[in-house]
Amino acid sequence: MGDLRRIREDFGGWGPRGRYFNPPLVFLVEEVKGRKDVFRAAQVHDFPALKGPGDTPLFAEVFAESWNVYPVARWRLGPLVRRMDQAVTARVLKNARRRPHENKQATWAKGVERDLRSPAYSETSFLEAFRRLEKETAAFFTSLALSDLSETFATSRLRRALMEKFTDFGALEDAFGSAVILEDDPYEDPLLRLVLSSWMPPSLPMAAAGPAQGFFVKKIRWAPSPALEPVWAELRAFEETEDGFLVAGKIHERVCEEAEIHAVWRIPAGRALAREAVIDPNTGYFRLLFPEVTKKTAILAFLEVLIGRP
Amino acid sequence: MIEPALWSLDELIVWHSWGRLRERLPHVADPRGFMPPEDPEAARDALERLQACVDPVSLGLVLASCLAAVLTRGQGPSEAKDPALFRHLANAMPGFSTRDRARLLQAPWTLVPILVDARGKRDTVWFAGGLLEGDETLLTPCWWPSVADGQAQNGAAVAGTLVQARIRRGLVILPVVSPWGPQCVFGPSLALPLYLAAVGLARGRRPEHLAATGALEESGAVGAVSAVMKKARAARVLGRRALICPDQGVELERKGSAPLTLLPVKDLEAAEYLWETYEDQSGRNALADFQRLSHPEELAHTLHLVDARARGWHGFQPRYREAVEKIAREPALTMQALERLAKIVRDPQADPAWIQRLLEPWDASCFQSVAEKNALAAFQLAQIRWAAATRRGDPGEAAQWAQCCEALQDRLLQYPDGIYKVCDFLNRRLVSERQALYRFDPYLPQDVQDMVRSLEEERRLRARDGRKPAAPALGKLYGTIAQNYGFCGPAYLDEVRRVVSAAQDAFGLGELPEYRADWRRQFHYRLYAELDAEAWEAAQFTLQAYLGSSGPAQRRGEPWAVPPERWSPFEHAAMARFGAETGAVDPAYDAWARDRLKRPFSGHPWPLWLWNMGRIFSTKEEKRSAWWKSAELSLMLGPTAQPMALLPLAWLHREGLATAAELEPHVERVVNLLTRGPLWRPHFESLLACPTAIGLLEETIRRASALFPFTYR
Repeated sequence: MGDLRRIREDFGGWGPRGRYFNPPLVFLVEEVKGRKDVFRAAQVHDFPALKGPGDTPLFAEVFAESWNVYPVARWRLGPLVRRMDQAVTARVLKNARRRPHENKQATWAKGVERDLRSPAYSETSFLEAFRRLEKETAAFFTSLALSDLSETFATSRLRRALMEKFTDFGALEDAFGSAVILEDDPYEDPLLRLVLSSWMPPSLPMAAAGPAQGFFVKKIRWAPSPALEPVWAELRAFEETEDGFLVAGKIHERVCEEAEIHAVWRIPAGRALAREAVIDPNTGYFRLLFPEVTKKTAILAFLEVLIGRP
Repeated sequence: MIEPALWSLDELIVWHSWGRLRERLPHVADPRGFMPPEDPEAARDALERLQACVDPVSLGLVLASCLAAVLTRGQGPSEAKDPALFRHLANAMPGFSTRDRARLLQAPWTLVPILVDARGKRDTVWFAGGLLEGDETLLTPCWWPSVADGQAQNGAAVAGTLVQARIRRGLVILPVVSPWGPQCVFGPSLALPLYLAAVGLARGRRPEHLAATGALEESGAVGAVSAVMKKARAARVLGRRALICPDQGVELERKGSAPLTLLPVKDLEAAEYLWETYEDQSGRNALADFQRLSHPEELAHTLHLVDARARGWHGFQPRYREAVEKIAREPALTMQALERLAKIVRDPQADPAWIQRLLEPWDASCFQSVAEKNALAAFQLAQIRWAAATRRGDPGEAAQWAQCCEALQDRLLQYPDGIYKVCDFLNRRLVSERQALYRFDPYLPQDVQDMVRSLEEERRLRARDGRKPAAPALGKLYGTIAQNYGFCGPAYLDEVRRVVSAAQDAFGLGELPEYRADWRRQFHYRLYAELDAEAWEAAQFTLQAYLGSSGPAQRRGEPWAVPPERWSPFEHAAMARFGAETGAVDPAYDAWARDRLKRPFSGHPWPLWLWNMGRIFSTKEEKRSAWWKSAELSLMLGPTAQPMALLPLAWLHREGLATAAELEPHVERVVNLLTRGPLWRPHFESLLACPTAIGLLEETIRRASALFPFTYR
């Protein structure tokens, strides 16, 4: 922790909209719980004119973007550039934990501002443009980290298919409807975006709820047009184990042979991917394991699960 | 969240195919989570597949847990169990002989969590415990000695011996552990929970929030065990709120830091008491009543503190009777206990069944033995029993105890204040036998008339310089007589006024601060009598006199000296009735009442205030709210107040604010009371003759003043 490192050069590459992404400098703020080999890192920049609210000074004019923190695996990191003391790390982390709430307020304020004022080339608009680019860079490299965080993401045929199919900006929204993809970053991994999507009016799950204790998962339907459907899942086990938080259950609906299951839990520290996620297509039994989630942070309402075939 | 985790045989096969069966084994160890297949053939198929792929140790745990689940499902009767699944399981896992298997299916069973000092990862080992007919003390599967150490085996044997000694049934146990696994049940602490669960099974007690741990000796003493705090944590994880544990070995200073309530006991009797009576909120003094029952002196002083839940203990009645017999031999203790009993019987919230239970040993023979030593105590005993019988609506028993009181009157009058005790009895009898039962009669019983004469004479003799001393006992009796006339209708208005004046005179004409409230209360009776007689002007004067300094400003040209928040419920009731009958409503009071309507109400006479204010309120919403609240509150009160619910229900119907379907269930409750309850049925005969609930409500509207006279509306 406290290391300033660059993501290895060989992980740079071409991304959406024909942009090439150079690996950025990152500042390691904490280990991902349950993973000694994956860190949360704040992207780093050094141009003082682009420093704004939510950035944390490191040294000289270099600052950590506390609002732009994402997971990075150890093996994707290059050599040490500089090591900061604990107090600096704590400051970055503190700002990072404060960011989600403040960001929301800022987004709302921005919306109001946009509606009320005519566009102008102000300091704020430059900062916004810069931050959008930084988020795009972060999304590109987060996408790599997803494979490190979750074996199922790494090997997912569904993910590969989505990435191949929805390369254009806005294509996912066009296919599934912009109403379902609400709050997340358009540059993020398409599978992650579908898992996290808001996908139905809240009354629907209540009306269709089964008798046993459980929750709804999202099921991708491809034909006649892409959509997400609610499917009832019975909960069978929901507890903290030595390896992480275990969720076991059964989907009471026919699942096709190639179906995959993916899950993300919204926790105070951000998003926790199911490191292991498996479903038995013949019986509908599934198993999800979240090393980052504890009994305290395991709130069923914040668990997002998606099943689908490529 | 999912407690316990659920599991099924086909699911285990899937998890095994993922190489993750290990994760589910802790769930398998809890038979409560087993979800049996609907089809026995599917079960057999799943068992065969499991046998083929799972290691023997894991398979043994699965089989033991399934078997425990099947045996304990249905809580007893054999037909609730699944014999086909039982057969498959019993065939797959050796343990009981063919003869025993049939007995297992017949036996009642329960699941018992045995908290262990976790040497492995498990902190609870579940046992299925059952009861067998016959003389044997303990039946276990043949592999029990290989999974339990010597202390555990001995503990189970002692538990079995004690179960046989107490309830004449044998104990059968099935530990939910793998028969083919290593030894995993250690120590003697299983004895107490096995015993309590088995005896509780026979007595129908299965406390959900209790766990137990403790060794047992054949004498019934509860012996020390290790790691009570760890076991307390394990019990907490199971959702238990209290743990019965041995008295020895628990460090007192650490008790406060336990994750749940620790209930240390010395012997089985105390443990059984807790097992049968402990519920939420029993708190740390859960054994206080048990100890009281063992100490007559303490019981005599604290009888009113004994929790009604103590009667749930199977040993309550013999122990209590024994204590009462000892108390009855000591006059001082008898007086103490009777004072406490009187307090309980007077408490309108006290449970009648509990009162009955407490009074049982204070029977006729007890009365005779007490009467020989102490007439005062015996009189009080008879009075208590008479009051309880009246409250219960048992005229036969009430008459029998009233006779006992009357028989003692002569002896009682020899005591310096005996006459007041007799007066108090006559007063209460008049209220209980007439007003409380709606049995209105202007004729006063002869003994009441005689008592009035005696007290008047006594008062006259004590007069000095033409000034008579206050006579509170006489004042109270006059007050009751005034009410008696008030309930008999407007024809008795003059009698009410005369007796009210006499009562006020007996209370010192309002000049003595100690009796000023009693003096003022007489205006209340007079006001209602005047309202019934439609003497509006007189009623207005009486209301002003009654409310006195707390009267409304508009009538006195002054701001309210005492705000309505501080009025008594009876003052509010009087104000509302006056307003509803005369239409003279103080706007400030009306505004206060609208605000008050939003807050909760409790007790009499708020239902009548709500009914009358509902008549005053101008909006439908307020009327509806006030009348429904009135009806619901009345129905929560005692038998005298419950019929008053008919008033708001009738007015809801009259104003079209409720449908027949909404009203009928409430009317039916009142009809049930009038038909089967203690109230005097002829008074309500015209209502009971109505064929429908709506007809009954319309009859209530027509005859409201006769049905609910005086202070009853």
